[in-house]
Amino acid sequence: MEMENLIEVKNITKAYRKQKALDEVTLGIRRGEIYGLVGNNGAGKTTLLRILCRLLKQSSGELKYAPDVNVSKIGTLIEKPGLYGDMTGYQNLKAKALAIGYRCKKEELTGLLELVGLGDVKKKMTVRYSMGMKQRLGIAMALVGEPELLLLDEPINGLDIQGINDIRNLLLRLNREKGVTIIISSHILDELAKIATRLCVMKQGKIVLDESMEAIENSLNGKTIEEWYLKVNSEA
Amino acid sequence: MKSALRHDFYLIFHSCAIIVCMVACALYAVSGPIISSYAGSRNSILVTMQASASMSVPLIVMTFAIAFCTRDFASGYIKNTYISSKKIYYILSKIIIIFSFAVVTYFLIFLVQTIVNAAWGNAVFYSLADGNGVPLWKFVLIELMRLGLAVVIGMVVLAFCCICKYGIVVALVTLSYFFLHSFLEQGVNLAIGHGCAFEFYSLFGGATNIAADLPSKFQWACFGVMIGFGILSFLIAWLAYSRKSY
Repeated sequence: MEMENLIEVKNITKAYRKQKALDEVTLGIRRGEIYGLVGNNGAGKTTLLRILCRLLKQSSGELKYAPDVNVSKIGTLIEKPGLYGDMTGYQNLKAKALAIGYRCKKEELTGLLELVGLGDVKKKMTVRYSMGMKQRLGIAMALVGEPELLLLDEPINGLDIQGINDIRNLLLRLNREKGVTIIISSHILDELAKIATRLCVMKQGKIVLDESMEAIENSLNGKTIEEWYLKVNSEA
Repeated sequence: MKSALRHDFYLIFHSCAIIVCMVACALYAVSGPIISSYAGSRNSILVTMQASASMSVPLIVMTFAIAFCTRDFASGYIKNTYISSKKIYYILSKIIIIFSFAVVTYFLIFLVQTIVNAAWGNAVFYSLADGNGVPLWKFVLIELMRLGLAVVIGMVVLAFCCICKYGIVVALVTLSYFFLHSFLEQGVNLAIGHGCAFEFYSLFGGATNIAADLPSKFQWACFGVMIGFGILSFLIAWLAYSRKSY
């Protein structure tokens, strides 16, 4: 029987000694969604993303991908982008493509650099990149191999206004034109609200709300998204 | 596996830090024979090569392994790149690169030694079959073991990198141990007493002391230590990397 969801998470708990980072989390992520994860520091967003991309093993519970999902085709940007500082932006992309066994032409990688606005600095050592440029390269690296699923942990951290706008448009384009499913965590709620099709609020390792953006917008009643979040978070 | 190897070979030829490290290693490898020959020491190719290889190869392989293996963990590169690969392929690929580097270094020393000796005319060219009265088969075996010990030192560094992600800590601990191992071994010998020879069971001791004219007991001990440390390092590297949470 075909799985309805791309990812199914059932009762996942992650405990570090006695401290629970995730507590009985259950969710399903549909194909083509932009799934936003929001929560205070220590809410469990990064832990959940790490478990989803199998960097971390859950203490208990079940994680299932749809059978047709090629796990090697998951693009990730977890926390800070891991780059080789003594190599250029292009070389970092090439190394990533080789590591995941993705064969591509030079133009494709150059195109990715241009897509994230790094076309002019592709021959510059990444150690000389600014934080925002590193973040853009991290996103380009996540896009190597034409992933059908993107897991992005705070991808707009350190970006300027232009950068945030570019990345937002890029993610929307990838989602709409190529059907890429995106799971994205961020503290910048306004930004998340602009692109997410569904929003999940986490608090102390638990999911306190998981609703479509449409339903959330309907329930705002004149409040801002920030006010709505603070209310949800305090009531949980 | 192919992907991991392609990635690692790409790094070797494109990463500035690794290229600088390799050039420094090559300079260090060739300077020994050149200085020795320029100073006019009249040794056979085999003796001089053994002397320079015994000290140079383990240190060079270790330095290379530190530069090559720590970067993935220290930069956080590994958590966004190797999420789907089989962990064992990553470890095997690193071991293959370390082995290839050790072989190239070893033959580079051999080549430079031969050229330098021929150019300065200081060499006394014994025939290989009669090199210092050591049978050829024994010479080859010892040299293979020396190479093996150097590779295993690289594997120990790899295992250490999988446990500790801080490159500077790995570098400090391994390099300190390399330069201080003889003092430490002497200390252990004195502490245990009864004519104990701890260097028989030490990887660094074996790599730097092994020679064709030593008693075979020492060579067997080196062989055992090499195999033991090799298996242990591989298992530690694999388990630590597999079970690591990032």
